[in-house]
Amino acid sequence: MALISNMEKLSNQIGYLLLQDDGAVIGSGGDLENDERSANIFMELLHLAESVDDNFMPNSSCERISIVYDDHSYNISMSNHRIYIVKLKNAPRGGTVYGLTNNGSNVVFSESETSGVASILT
Amino acid sequence: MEQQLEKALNEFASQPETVGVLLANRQGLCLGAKGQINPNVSGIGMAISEQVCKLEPNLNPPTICLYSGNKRCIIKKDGELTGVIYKQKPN
Repeated sequence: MALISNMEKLSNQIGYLLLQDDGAVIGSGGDLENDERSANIFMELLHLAESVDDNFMPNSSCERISIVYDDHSYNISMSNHRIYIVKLKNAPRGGTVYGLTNNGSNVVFSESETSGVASILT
Repeated sequence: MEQQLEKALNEFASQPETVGVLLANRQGLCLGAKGQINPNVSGIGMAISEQVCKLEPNLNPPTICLYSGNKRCIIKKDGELTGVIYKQKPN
């Protein structure tokens, strides 16, 4: 489970969930450890996000979602029938904290300095 | 009231990369829309914002951003109102 260890390595990570596309929990840790309640909320959210507006975003084309609170954010990314959810602590204002994995893997989480919105770059 | 709403919508719509913007009330009904956005999106926008608020009900509603390629749909609830903004980066 190399991808779980990548999620764990993020410096500003405070919780993660790895779900199968049917909602089954494959892995979890930190604040989201064994958090079935949040997992169900995320699954329902993904279902809603599938068909927002076919004219703007084709149905099921949404590849990631970020949910940003004042001091933390949830970042959801869909890939290969799996759903990756990471809870990140926001960087202090004025500074940028990059949650980079050490081994140059293809999943990189970053914090945008100007907007304060955490984003996942794949 | 409508003038203020119109003013707010115009202000949002004039931001960079913005394609369309709408405001919905607590029932998910569209109060006003500007640009290329279907007023019917107010219902689903409201539903998404309500769903996300279940995550941490004790905190203020978060900003939700859906990404698809160069397009973004931003949803934010504030009190009685929910705003939906469509943004698109130039290719």
